[in-house]
Amino acid sequence: MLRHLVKEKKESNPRTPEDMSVKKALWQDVLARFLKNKSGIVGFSIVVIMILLIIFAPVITRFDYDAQSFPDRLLYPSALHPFGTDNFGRDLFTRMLYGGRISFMIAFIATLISAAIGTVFGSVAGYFGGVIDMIISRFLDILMAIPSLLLAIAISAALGSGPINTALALSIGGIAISARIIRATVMAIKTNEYIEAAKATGSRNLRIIRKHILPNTFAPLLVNATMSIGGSIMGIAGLSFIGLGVKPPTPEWGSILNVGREFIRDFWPMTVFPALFIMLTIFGFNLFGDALRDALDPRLKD
Amino acid sequence: MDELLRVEHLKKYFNNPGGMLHAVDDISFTIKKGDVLGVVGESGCGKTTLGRVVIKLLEPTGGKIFYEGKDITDIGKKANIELRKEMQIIFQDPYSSLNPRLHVFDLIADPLKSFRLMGRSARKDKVFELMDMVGLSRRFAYSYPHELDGGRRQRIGVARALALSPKFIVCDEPVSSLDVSIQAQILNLLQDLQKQHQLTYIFVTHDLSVVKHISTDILVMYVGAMVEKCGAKELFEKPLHPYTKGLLAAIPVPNIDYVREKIVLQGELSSPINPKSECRFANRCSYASDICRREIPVYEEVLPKHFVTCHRVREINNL
Amino acid sequence: MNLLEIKGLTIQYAMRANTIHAVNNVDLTIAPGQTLGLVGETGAGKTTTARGILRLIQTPPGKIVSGEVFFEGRDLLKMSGAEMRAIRGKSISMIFQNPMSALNPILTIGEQIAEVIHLHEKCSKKEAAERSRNMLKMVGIRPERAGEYPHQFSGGMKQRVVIAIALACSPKLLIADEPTTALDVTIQAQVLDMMRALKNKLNTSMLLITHDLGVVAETCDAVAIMYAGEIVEYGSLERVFHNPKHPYTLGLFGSIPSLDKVVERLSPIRGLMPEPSALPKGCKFKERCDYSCDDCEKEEQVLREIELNHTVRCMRAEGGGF
Repeated sequence: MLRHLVKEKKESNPRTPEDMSVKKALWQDVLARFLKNKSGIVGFSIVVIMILLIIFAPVITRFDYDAQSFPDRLLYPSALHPFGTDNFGRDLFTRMLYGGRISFMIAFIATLISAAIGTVFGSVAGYFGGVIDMIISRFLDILMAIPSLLLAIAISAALGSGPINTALALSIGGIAISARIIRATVMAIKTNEYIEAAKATGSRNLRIIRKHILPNTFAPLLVNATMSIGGSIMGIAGLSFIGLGVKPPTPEWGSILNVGREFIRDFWPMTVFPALFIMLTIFGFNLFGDALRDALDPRLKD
Repeated sequence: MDELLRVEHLKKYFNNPGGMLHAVDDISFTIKKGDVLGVVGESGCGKTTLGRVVIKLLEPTGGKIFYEGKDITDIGKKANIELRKEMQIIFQDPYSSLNPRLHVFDLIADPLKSFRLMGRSARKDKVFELMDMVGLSRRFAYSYPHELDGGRRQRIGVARALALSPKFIVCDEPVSSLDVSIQAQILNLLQDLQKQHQLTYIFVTHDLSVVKHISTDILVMYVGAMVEKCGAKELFEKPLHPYTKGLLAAIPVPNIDYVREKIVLQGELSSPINPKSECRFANRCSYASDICRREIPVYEEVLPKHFVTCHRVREINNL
Repeated sequence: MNLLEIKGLTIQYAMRANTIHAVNNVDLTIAPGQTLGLVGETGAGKTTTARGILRLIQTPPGKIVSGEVFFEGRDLLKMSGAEMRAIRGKSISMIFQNPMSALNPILTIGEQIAEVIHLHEKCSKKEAAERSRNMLKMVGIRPERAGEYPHQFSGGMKQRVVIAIALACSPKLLIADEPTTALDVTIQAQVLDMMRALKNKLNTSMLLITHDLGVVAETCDAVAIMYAGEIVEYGSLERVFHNPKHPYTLGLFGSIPSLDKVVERLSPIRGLMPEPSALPKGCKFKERCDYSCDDCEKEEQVLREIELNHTVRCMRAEGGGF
């Protein structure tokens, strides 16, 4: 009589479909798709190499980043100094690697802050809708109307230079975009019946947001974060270039570039190498982010 | 008491940009404990909305709802959440009704966690007990929805609905998205569970043949309005409303010797937005007359326990 | 001569991890003016078979591994791209399940019908427009609506437009893939009624793909039941419905609720269809069959003629095995 129960017991036979079909976890699917994307692998490699370089800076180069040596000023690249030296005789390669630490750290912190605040705003606006959504969205509109670099400049000028202040300055501009992305994702997720099911089984709003909505917003958030790290690095470089951001003697790609301006006609290494590193890093992050977005896109499911 | 759910002149309207959408318009019925009310109709008839309003997942625009004799129409948010322990729903789409990031165990345990009804160990026992009840092998406990087929996913939905031991369940087209050979498995499961646990159902579907053997009574809806309601057997033997007759004649029967009157309803369904003051079926009805286009017909008991909304029901059926 | 003769059609998809055996050695014939119902559930391979006829399989990863598809005596699988294009829409037309996505939202319905006529027949734009309006009349849409856009029509009307496009050049064969599944039941009745009338008027043959045995009973002359990529039962409507013999067919009839039955409880088919990437040896239905024996998994099953106009792929069905 209880045929539906008997049926399940019979399926312990190893030749049944469930055992034979390929069970893939969500992440394995994503990974497989990502690995098919050549440019994504290139981008990922660039990012990884960069990060490894800056982590292992003390091992790779034996110079101190602030070891001045006037007789060795403005030397062209050689075996001893792969990137040459700067106007104070400091090894440029060392300054680039240590400078990378600063750039990446600030970029990560700025992205983290804007993602966190953006998620709060976006999920509240997307989930509750109505007046709350309207207020938050108009606030975000205002924020987006201000060019983010100008905003960063203004805040940086107000707070002063230094890594933490720079991170804060850059994070404000990114809040609106993160919030917009989260809001759109949350609104799409809300249309799924499992949200209604959560309500029907007694979950309160906060629990629904925490348990059912946010975990499903992870994908677009990750893609956005990856892309915006590239933008942040450019922003930091830009701020340092104009004298805000990080000030010398702390090494930073943008500030090195700024000083290198004076010598651009006679001595190219101080402009070319920082510019190259900035370009390469952003390029890598963008390729990686693009490929990640494609890999996470459920429409590509076979 | 005998009566579990009573609904009086229930209305649910939605404010659309094009006008006021009368999704559910003046519906009344009573369901006794242990009965199954089949709610049948085509798309846009309001049956899905009705299912949700009745268990207070949506707030009604008008009318009253009584559960076990108590008026639950205007209860507050807190009481509404408490009501979830009594009234549950099984959804149509076994894909979008399950959170893709949770595995089977968490999906079924979710209601228990929301209410913090029991400790971890007791909860584990309960989840496995529910899985057994719905015929879901325990080895799927940590699988994800996308790894399972439609039939198994729907069983998860059933287990989740039963987790809080409700008395009343709205089954919203629970088999429409499933393959034909799986449909029967799930229909039998729902039937068995109903008998074993003395559950009361509202079974919403567009397919009359599906509710034929599971329903005690059947309610036919059309563009938000009630059209006919009577005992299940009687609906098939003695349909009185022209729409019901057309609906029965339209359902394809896998029997080449089946003989029945051929009725093909022409025309399209009228719009539920800002409906005119007339019978909603008038534009397609071969019996439509002047009064049908002027006045909204009244829901009345035409034969014992057989309700119809039609101006000309007695003439058409020679009563 | 038969209008369509499919012999040994085998279609596979080469995926990353495995091969999907979607269609396995299928034989079908359709006579002029006949309607063949191809019945099966999701994953049985019916849509793939239909697309295979018109060579609409995505290659890669799909591939028509072997077989012949004779249409009016010529093998479609050996034709060039240009020859196939001349046939699609003109001699053989196909309509798909979802009318919502089959119509181009930025063209009027009149233009979409006229486009097909203009493409295949030598006539002026004016003539094409005129014939387009006639087609609308034939499918029950007022010709004045030719200038309207798809979103202005309901689901049932959209499907009628799709049918008008398919029949505009009076094809000899219409392949209809679940044409009414997405429609409400009373609208389905209208559309099926209209299709029957048109089919008779134009003497079009039809391959009707569906999972609904009720629709088959009302519209088809012959039936082929498909399971796991194979035809398991095949014969005239009368023979298959009066004397179903394959356990899967019997299971289908027993498990679907229907108006003419008075049952306390349905009899479902236990288990699931095997994955097309991992089909078992021997009979594909054995795991779910109540009548199977050990021999069933030893040999590959073949279609056996158990009576006139009726073949079954089951070694135990022959000779009244059970």
